[in-house]
Amino acid sequence: MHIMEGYLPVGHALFWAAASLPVVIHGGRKIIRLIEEKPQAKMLLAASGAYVFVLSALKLPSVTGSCSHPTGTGLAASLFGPSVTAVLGSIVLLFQALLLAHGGLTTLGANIFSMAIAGPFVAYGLYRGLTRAGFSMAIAVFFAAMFGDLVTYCVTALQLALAFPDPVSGVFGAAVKFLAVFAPTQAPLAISEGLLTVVVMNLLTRYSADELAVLDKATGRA
Amino acid sequence: MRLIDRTAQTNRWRYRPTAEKLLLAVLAILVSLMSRSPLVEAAILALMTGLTLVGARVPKAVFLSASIVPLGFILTGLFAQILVLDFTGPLPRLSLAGPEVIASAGFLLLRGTAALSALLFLALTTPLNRIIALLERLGLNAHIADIALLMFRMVWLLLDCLESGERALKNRLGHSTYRGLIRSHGLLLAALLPRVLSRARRMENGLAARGYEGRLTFLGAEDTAKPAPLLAITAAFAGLLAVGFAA
Repeated sequence: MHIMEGYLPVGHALFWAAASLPVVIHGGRKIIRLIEEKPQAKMLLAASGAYVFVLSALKLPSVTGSCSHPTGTGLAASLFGPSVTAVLGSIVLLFQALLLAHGGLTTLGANIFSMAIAGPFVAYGLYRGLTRAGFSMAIAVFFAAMFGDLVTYCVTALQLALAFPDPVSGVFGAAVKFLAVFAPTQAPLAISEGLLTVVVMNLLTRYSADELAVLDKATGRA
Repeated sequence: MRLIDRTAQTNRWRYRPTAEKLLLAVLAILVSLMSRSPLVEAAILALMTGLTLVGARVPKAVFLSASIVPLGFILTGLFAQILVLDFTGPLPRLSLAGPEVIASAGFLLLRGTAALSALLFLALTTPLNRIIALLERLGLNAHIADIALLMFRMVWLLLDCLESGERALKNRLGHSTYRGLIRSHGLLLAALLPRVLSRARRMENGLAARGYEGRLTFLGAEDTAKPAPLLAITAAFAGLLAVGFAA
């Protein structure tokens, strides 16, 4: 769920850009260090970024008769780690703004915060936490991807509520309204994305272990 | 997805300097965000739509098609804004907001549409790779710019793989049930990742054989930006902003 161009007031747009910048800079420095040590990682990172972008071209069923695309935050965070996902996600969001008109330039900071930072970090934390707690990989991946998607949507609703509080019930009331308005699309989508990510990760761990090892090296997680 | 890029590569202003188009769009968005005057918003909407449709000769159907999703979001958000939620009673009560809130939601609709027209102007007249090249000249790290440029080139190849795979799975009734759809999409994405990585390795080998030293250089075909038009654009929007504050 992208916040569209011109929707956020200037102060809010600047605040969310400032909040996202340190994480993106940290991830960017990590990527630059990696490329300087291993120049071949550049191609793999670009291929990974293109893969994340193409995820958004896939249509998933949401409420009856409507379709939406997955955020890919859970899958990307599981494959590339959250700091690399923050940078690749930022580039993907810029691409989505300029190739699809989804999102915008002044809302890029807010969209990066919800989709490239909050969602991936929660997904990655859940994935690591659940696997360490002894849950199977399928359970960990499902909850990581589903909550990664839901957190993205909740953060976006909160960003909108902070910008446009309800005249009577304030930010809380506005958050309830924005969550309710977008819930019919986002809640089924989160479940579909959780299931899809389980299928993908199951197949990748079974048949593409070599590729996953290469990715771990390329993204500095090995 | 290809519609916007195809139009950006083929419109009448394709070869105009990227800096001019980027400055025009960014200033239009900033002025529309800072202005409090509906007249200024309407002027920006008319100006940017006019430049896109008449100046760059982008087809109306393309412009409208690219506007549908963002306008849908703006209208859905508007719906949440014109309703008031009251928790003071025993049950939450939803009612229509007063005229002031409705007027401010209407202004937001106008502002969102004006800013969207500026974004669409940029997206529909300027190829994304030229914007990234300009950002690199303005200070974006060269490695990050290279990753973005390579991503831009790989996206179209991947999209072809994704679409042909999706078509094949659909024709084999892979989309006939919800369970089948999730499994088909999963198979497709799992098959796509090894292909992407193998393509990246082949590209790396190819570049290494051609003396790759860590930097990729791409040629640009557009005109060079001159200071006079850039100053004129800045002055025009500064004037528009001043008019907005005075009104």
